[in-house]
Amino acid sequence: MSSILKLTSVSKRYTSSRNALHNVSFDLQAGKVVGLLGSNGSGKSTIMKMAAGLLQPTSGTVSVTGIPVGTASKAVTSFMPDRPMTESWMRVKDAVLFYQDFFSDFDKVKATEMLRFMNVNEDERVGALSKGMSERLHLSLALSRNAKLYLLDEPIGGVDLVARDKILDAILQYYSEESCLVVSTHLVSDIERIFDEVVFIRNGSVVLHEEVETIRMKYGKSVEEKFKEVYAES
Amino acid sequence: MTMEFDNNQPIYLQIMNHMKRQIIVGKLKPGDKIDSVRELAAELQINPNTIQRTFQELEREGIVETRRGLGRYVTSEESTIMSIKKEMAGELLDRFVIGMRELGFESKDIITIVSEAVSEKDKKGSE
Amino acid sequence: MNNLLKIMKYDWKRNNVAFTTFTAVFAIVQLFLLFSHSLLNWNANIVYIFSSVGFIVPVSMIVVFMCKTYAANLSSYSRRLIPVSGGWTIASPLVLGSIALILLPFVFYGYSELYNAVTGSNFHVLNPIVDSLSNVAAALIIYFWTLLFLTIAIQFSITLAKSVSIKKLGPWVGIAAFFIIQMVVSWIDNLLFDNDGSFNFVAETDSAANVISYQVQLWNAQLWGSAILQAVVAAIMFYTMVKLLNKRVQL
Repeated sequence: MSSILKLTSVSKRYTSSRNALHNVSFDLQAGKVVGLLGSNGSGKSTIMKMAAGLLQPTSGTVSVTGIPVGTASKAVTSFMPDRPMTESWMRVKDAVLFYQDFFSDFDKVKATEMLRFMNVNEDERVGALSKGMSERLHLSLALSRNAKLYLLDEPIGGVDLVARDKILDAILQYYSEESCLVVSTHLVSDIERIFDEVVFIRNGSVVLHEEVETIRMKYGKSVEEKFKEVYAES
Repeated sequence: MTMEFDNNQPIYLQIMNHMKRQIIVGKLKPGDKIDSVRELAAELQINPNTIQRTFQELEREGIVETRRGLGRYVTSEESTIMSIKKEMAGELLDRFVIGMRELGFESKDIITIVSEAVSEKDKKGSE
Repeated sequence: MNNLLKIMKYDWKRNNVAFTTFTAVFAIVQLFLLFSHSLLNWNANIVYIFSSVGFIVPVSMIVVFMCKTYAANLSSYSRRLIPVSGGWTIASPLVLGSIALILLPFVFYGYSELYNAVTGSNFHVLNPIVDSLSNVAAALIIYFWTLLFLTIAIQFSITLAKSVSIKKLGPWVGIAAFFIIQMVVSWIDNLLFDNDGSFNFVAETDSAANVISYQVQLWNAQLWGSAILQAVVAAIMFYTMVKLLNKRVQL
């Protein structure tokens, strides 16, 4: 199996300890769906942004498919951020064209199909979309690329149950063996069954990195219970 | 296929047991084609690798067989299916016997109770 | 190169409403001034001076557009996540702005000719003292290059401000860098080319050393010296910005 996202002794210092990271190392493989779990401010978003190339580590290295994060790695990394990836003048179809212009691995047919599946109207102005609809648009765009690394930052943050189901369906449907999909979330129970492995982040450090079935087998606990237990210690 | 999961137990074991039960009750018949990993993953909203593992374990136990290029099928070996039945019955019995012992019944009493219960059921069934 | 064109397309789309609105308002104001003499009997000379000075507004707006577009792109996810080198992000607003800056003098020339025709006045856009082809070319180069250099320096300051890891300190570092660059450039300029910032008036004198007239000579060694110096500084700033963009700039 080939390594997709690798962090080696990554630290990130901020003036406050929020979002900071301390000596984080892990290696995520192709074909895996990985949950990056932690509370708000634990540093999971910092990891996602570093992998996407939006933030630089204070020390340590981050590489995607063996290339240090930079312009080249962005071509194989599909990030669904917590902030709009679109520009206010755009309509949904302009956002699709934007992706087509800049990402050579973008599949427009897949995007159109998925937007229809998600009930997102292509003629809608992106600024007029509700939070839930905007999340659906961004997820559709992110998953319509044939990337090596998918980073979904809190993809089910503010959406209703129906949308959550659709999002989980979409993730499972478009999953591929050659790529690694990382989902950061603090809502564990809703999606723990789609994970292969989970990485727990607490106060900027990795406290557990384990296969989910191993957690269930070893501790007789669900990932959510293990997560609560780990967080209760702090 | 719809099923409820207990997140405290390994999911692949739960799916395995579920499929075995379906074979026993005849919802899945010998020689039936089984959904692909992707189909089942989407249907159950479960990680595809977990489904993959389920199938691997079922294959190892001889319950499912892969036909090259065609997909996966429930085995046609009656003996294998019989042995699943026995295995599952064994689990039920174990639990039953342990429970009865905890209630203070002797082996002899347990047998009597079971045979009475069975004939009672038969009577009711024939009425 | 293809990437540059794509980025320019999106920079244009992002600004096109604001740009078109501004152009329309400016055109209406200038048209009003054009006919103010015949309609309202305003003094043609004074109005001409006002409307000429008014052209400073679009010039500064172009610079503002360039800097604002660049700053917005630095902190926009849509631009930071695409696999395009930072160099094109810097170049795109510069190229778009340059096209506008180069077109503007011709607009001004056209406007003046129109003004003369409508009001029957006889204004010479090209001042008699700079009215030689080489001086006109030099004036245009000075005009264009000064603004471009200014914009690059502002872009550089913005980039620097965004690269400082302590967020509150960023803007101050940027502002300080801007003034330091300006001072250092003019200091070196003085040192190397003895450029005192005047317009190189060359006095024509008679045999008794009395000044008859001043002749401006824009096309001279100092001009080229300063331009080359600034070009070198601009290239260094551009290179540093690309490095910072690809490696350091924080969102």
